[in-house]
Amino acid sequence: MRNFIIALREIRRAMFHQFGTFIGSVLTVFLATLVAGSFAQITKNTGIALDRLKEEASIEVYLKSDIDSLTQNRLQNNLVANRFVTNILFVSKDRALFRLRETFGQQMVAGLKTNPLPASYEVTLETEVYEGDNFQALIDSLYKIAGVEDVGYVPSAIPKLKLIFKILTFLGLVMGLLVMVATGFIIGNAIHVKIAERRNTFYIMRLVGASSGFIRAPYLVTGTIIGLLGGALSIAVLKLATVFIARFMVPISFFDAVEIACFIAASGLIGFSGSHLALKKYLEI
Amino acid sequence: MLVIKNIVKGYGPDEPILKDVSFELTKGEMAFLVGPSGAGKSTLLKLIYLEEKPDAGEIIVGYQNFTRIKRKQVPRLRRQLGVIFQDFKLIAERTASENIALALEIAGKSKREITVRVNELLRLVGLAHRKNNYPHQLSGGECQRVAIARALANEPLVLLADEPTGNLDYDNSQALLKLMQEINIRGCSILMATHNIHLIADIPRRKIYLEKGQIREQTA
Repeated sequence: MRNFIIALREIRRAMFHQFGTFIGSVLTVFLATLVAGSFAQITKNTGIALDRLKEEASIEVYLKSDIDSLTQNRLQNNLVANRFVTNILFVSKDRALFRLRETFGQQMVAGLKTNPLPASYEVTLETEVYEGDNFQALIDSLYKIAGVEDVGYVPSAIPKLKLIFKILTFLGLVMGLLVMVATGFIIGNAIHVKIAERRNTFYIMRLVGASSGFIRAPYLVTGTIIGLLGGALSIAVLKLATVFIARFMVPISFFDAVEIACFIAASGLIGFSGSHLALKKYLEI
Repeated sequence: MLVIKNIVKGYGPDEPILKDVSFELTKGEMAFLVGPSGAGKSTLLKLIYLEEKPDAGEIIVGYQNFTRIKRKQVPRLRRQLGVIFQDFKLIAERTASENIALALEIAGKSKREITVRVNELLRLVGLAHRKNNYPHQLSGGECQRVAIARALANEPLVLLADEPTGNLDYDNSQALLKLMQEINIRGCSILMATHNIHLIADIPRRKIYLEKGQIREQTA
């Protein structure tokens, strides 16, 4: 604790003498973490969009017009027994016509002499159905069930979106890793510059009896502060950008409190690690 | 207080710089280590303040054998010594009082203790009015006084001085020597290395003559 207080005093002194270097380091870390944060934000929102699509996704199983009740019962049991099916809703021919009228108006159905719409089951699916080839296998299996005329589903954007999500996640991880290394390097370099500038000071401190911890502490704390400030600044800018996009373009989500805390803490940790490595490499005590 | 026993120190295959050097400094004694440049004075002091390790021999300060210690113990043992140098070795971005406070901060003293002790030391070296000045705002003599105050901050067992008058003019050198004698009278043991025999000729303190790495003679 004593070392920490002295470290803070040393930082105040160093900041007074090297304010430009300190601010420069914070801004550089801010830019690096902003890139990582933007990627994380895009990945998060793609994931949310994907989840919403999955939740809303359903298919319709149209029945043959001449289906008998026994076959329909078997079909219904078959659907209920399927592990990917969470819910089914029977839509009779009359109900289907009613919906069409509700949706498109009376004129749409006025000229019809008979009801051309088939009865159907609206089938809500488990989200795992979109894993691997499950979805296509399910559709194929439905066609094979007796009494099924057709299976209706919107050519799903989910597989494509999933692929995009996977790519984004992978790129996000790679970018995150690169940014972590780069940020650590930036902070380490800033600390290296400070070490080089103060080599003589360290020598004097050693002669006066300073321990390794006493000399290192201000730099470890400085590195951590640079990381924390850079991370916090990029979170603030990302929040502003999110508010702007949500208001004028598309509704998107921002990080939750835990994610924000983790992001800033990770920036601080990178700052600490960068300083630690720089001290280990360049400071001979 | 300080025992130097059969010290040998060399660098590489050349002839050793210090060859079987032995002497003692008793508690409260002030002695001069005199010799021309290259005689081994600074090397001997470096061995005492643990900047270097001897090839053979022993250095005992108080009850602690400085030649049988672990690397981790070095900072703690250095706090038992006070060292001043020809080039003062003050930290440029610290004021006079902050430079003195450094030694006390390192020793873990409280803020209150530091304030009291720093003011006391500034008065002792006659620089109370210059406490907020940075080293570049002080004269050479004043810088050396700050260095002395810092060296005395933790009440060292021995004050080591390596050519402390080397960068000072005659008047400042005399003033500094007078100050060091006053400090010695207060009970602090002092070992001062100098090549300037004329400067200390009239000072009634022991002189240890070092030449080519060996003690040639000692005069009381």
